[in-house]
Amino acid sequence: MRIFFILCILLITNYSYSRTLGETEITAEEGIEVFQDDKYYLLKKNVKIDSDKFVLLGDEIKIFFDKDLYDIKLINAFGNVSLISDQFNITAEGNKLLFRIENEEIIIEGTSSKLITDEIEMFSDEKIQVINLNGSFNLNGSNSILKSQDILIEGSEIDGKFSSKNNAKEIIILNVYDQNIAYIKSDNTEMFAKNIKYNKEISLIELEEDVKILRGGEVIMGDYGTLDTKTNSYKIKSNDSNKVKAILKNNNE
Amino acid sequence: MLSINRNYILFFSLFISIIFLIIIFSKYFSISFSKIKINNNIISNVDITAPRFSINSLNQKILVTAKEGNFVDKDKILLKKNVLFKSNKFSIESDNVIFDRKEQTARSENNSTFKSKKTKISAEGFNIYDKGQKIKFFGNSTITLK
Repeated sequence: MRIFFILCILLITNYSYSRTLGETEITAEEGIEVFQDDKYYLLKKNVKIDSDKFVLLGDEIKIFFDKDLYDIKLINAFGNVSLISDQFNITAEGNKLLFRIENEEIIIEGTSSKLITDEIEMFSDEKIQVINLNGSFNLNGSNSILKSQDILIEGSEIDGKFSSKNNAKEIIILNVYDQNIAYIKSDNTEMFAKNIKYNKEISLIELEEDVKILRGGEVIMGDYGTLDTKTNSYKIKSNDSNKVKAILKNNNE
Repeated sequence: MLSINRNYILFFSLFISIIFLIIIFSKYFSISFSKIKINNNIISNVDITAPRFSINSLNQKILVTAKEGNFVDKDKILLKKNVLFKSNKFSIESDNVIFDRKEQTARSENNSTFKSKKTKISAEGFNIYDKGQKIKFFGNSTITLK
């Protein structure tokens, strides 16, 4: 009886699962246009790409191919785009998504765009770009946020590079800019400046213009600051030597 | 002499009558046969049996074949049964396809299957235009890539 029950379930699941392993199934409600000379095909209305590696949904999807239709080199999705990859632990959402196979590049555009992996979360109202092959990333536009377990970064332009040592994504280069103010929170330190740069190789965070560092009860303000991530010590300078301001709070008060 | 002549005359008239009857019957049968042929064509309503056309562009030639074809107008032909479009890159199988000889286009609103290397497209119809360089598949469509 039990074997019969298992067989029934297997038959039902096999019947409902039309795609076989290794195949990619693409469905569209309002047809497909194949442009043989321009080497792309356009899929219209409620498009779904279902493959072993990912599921991509969009209102309209344009697929560029190299020699034959199966030989995909670029996917461009438009309208209510959603990407889910269990294999790479990625989910992404936005109004527009571009996926370049060759360098594993993903660009998400539009209001409330997001790219979430098991270690890092990225949000922006304009553009998120990640090139997996060289580890570079770029977030552009208002409400751009990058956060992980250890760090929170906010700015209108965030770009940098991940290292993939030991399969863990670690930021090795970071540039954050915001005309109003960029913000980084790491461990017990909060940093504000128009321009913030980090280089892991020299273990240094540089802060430029309207600098403010908050740590514990301390608030230090100036025009230029550096923070040594090895010693966890910082220096603040000012264009006007009298301008550096320090507020020390006694938490025991 | 007269009796001989009479027999000859009788035999000759009989011979003539037989020849005449053969001619009449043969005419009758040939007319009946062609009438049957015409009637058959009217019943099956087919203008062209096993039509063959082609769509030619600079870099490919698409051969169009079917079991039957009917003229819709001077240039348009309705292709029916086992309609196949075949080039060196792909094939499309469908039914009830309107093929335009002048414009080199083809359109069907019946279920169609496109096949090329490692690719299969199933759709509710198709339209080939721009000398076969562009193909539009209608309705709920599925691409399977291997």
